[in-house]
Amino acid sequence: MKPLEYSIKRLRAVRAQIKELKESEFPYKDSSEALDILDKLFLTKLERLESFDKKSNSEAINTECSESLMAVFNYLPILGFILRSTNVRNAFEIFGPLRRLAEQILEHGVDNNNKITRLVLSSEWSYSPHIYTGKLNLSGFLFVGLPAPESANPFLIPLAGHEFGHAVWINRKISKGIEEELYKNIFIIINSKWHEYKNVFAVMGKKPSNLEKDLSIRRNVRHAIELTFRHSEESFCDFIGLRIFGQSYLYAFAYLLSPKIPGARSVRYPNTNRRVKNLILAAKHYKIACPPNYKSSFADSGEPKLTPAEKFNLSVADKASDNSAFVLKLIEEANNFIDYTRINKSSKSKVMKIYNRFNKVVPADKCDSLPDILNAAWMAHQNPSLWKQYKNLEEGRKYIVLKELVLKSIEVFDIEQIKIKAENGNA
Amino acid sequence: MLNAKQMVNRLNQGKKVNAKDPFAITPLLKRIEKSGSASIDLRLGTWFVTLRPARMPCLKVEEDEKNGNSSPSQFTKTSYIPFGEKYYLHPRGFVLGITLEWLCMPRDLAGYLIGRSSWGRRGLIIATATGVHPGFKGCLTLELSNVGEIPIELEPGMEVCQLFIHKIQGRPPKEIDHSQFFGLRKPVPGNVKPDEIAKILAKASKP
Repeated sequence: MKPLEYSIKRLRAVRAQIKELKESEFPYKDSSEALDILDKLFLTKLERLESFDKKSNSEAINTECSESLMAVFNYLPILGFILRSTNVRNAFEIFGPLRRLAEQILEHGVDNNNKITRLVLSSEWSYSPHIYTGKLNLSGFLFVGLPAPESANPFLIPLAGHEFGHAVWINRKISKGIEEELYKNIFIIINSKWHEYKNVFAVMGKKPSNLEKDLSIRRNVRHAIELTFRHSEESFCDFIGLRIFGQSYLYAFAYLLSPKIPGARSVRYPNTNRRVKNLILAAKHYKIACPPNYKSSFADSGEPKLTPAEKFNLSVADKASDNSAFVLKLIEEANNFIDYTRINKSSKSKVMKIYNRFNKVVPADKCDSLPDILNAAWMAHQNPSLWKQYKNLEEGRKYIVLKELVLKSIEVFDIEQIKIKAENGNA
Repeated sequence: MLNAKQMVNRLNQGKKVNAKDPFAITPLLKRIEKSGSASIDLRLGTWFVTLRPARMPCLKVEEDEKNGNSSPSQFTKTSYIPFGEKYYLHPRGFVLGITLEWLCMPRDLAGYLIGRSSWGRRGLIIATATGVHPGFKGCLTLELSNVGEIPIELEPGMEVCQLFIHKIQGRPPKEIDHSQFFGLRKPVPGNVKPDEIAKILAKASKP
């Protein structure tokens, strides 16, 4: 076996593929910049492998080979993602406004010359919208993907708000600020479930006086701790999405997830009913009107098959992250953060103005924000008598035309923003 | 034909909240009054569609029919050229473009889209099917071809054509034909409708 030779060949193949990908038609330079960075990364790894000779330590070679293989594993899906960002199935009109929104969220107050936010907007061949953040060598890059068949559907854009939430969670180290409270919640619950804990983990003897400091308990419930943080992050991201995009986030969320995710529930997320309950609570807090019968549009997915220990840990995570005072704190945290970025809540009168234009099949102009356009879009979508006057326009065509109208409005908004920037001398 | 002032009046009326059947052009990036002409300049949009000659021997109406007027994407390729980038149209080249502007025509107005003379003199032909019907809404597909001998650099956002607006004589039509081109932002080749009379003539002429 020749791991070094194989690893070198693998890396050369990846670099050859990147070279080919660079020949794609990139509508925006962010995607090709990501490729340049990845190419440099693989080149560095390749040079390191090529520097080994017969005298080199075999353990060092093996370690380097394993790391290079890990890089191939980690970055290959991202290369595919970048390639799909060039596909004309995407609505490229969304890119500019969404990138500016991302900049405003993640780099509010940063001088234009020092901004590092880059957006790769693409499509996923898995149904759920996805984001890659925090990759070691792609600092500042956001990779947001919508499900491939819906990648040009403007009605789903609000879900990008949830994905931005993950970047906020990481960049602002939100987990640090809530850590103490979460640990407290977790161990209060374990204390209350002590009898069950003892049975599940076959613990003998008395209950320790300080559960939190007991190393064996911490080891047994480390999965509960991890899941509690995950659930809290997902809830926080929902609140960020809701606070940015207003009611349109609720509609987009329902479009994607109602009535429930088929199959067993993912333990990494709070179950659907809990997410919806918290969204309704946050909407009330943010003074966002909830669509009628919203809660009843959802149901929980089935419970996954888990070992007693996993089940125990999940139940602890579910309870610990659902503490009402804690949820309110997350709601407030998301609100304060978006307030700080100076992203205003969608104004009813502005949304109504855009909606009136949609009603006449005229794209919106002079808009203040992307969320305003999307809220008006969902308002039009929800109106059963929209374009009733166009008797020979079929329902299916109406939906297509509405999507086109919304995308055109987003492009007009983009053009106006570019123009304003140019007039202010910042082009 | 409407003059610049009349067009502006109609566009302003269309902006009113209670305007039911407005005349609108979005985005309108330049003041029309100043042009002093009887037309509105329209710009090139960001989407382009080319034919894939290698995918079919020739274009036939029967093929459209046979496929149930199925997707023309079988023989077309779509490209997106962002603002600031170029599209090079070579001599004898042909590409479908789209106006940047979305038009909203009321039932009492129609229009004609033609090229701009300065471009025409350089060999750029903009459109051959130039009528814009009353009630039409959407972006207009442009049939761009270079009949000159030098490649032409096209750039999204540039003014490439002009629209003349006419008032419909008599009562405007009640029903509007929401054709396959209604409410679109990308260029479409469209489907050719089968001509029953041509079919009968062809069949009858055979011995």
